[in-house]
Amino acid sequence: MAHSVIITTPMPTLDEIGKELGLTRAEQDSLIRLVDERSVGRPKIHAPKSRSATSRTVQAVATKRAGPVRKTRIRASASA
Amino acid sequence: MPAQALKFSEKSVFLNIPYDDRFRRLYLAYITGLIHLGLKPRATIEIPGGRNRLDKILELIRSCRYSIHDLSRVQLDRTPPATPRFNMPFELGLVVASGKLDSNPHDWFVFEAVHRRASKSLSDLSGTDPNIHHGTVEGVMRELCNSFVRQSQNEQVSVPKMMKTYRAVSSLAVEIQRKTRARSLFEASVFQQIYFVAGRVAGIPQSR
Repeated sequence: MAHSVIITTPMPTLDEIGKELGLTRAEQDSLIRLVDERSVGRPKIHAPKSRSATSRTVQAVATKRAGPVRKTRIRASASA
Repeated sequence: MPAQALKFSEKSVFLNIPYDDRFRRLYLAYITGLIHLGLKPRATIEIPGGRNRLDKILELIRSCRYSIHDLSRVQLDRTPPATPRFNMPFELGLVVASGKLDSNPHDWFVFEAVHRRASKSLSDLSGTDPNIHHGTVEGVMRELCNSFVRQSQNEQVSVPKMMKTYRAVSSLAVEIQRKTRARSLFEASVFQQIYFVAGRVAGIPQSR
């Protein structure tokens, strides 16, 4: 079996990586933009934690109760 | 006056791999995998050609805490005259010798695509078990996770997460090559930009 080692060094930050590579602030920002533009439509990196599925469901149900048409839908799903 | 020596880094990994388009996928896999593990890939492509190249390679090796030697490229290349690639085993030799002479700690790993082939191609390595990646990106990720284990449970990484990053980095690498007008991905500036971009995709925080 091949050997393994335990890594104890702290995870670097992106700022530290950029500095070590000798990238200027502008170069770093340009590369970050490149990644983020590609990430459009996908969950954002480091975005604040989204609400839990439960809280979203509760809110959706509350909205549905606001109108008569939606009320019917709730009843229909309840009877299903 | 001699140039200032590179500072020894506990998180640097000397990446001893073939630099050609056939190895493109695994090259990106190594960079992506290492950044997930919080390690910094270093490669001879960062060293400009010219005089004293061998000295600079040795200096780079001695600045790294770890090294990975991919010995999977044992075939003859297609460009005449057909020759095998000696750089990888040669640099492995430099690392082994340097490890015996230097005071800095150094752990080295041999990666291969085929079981038992290294014991034939480089029998001096008998007693060393190579990490077999089967020539696949997923295999490289798996073997990186087997070789390097992060101490903190919170920082444990998974192969599926690495694969997700790899797929994004793979398409971004094409964009970087186009923007920098580089002839290949194996140029110093492209290598550095891919490394930085992989960090962003992997979700490494910008600052503490």
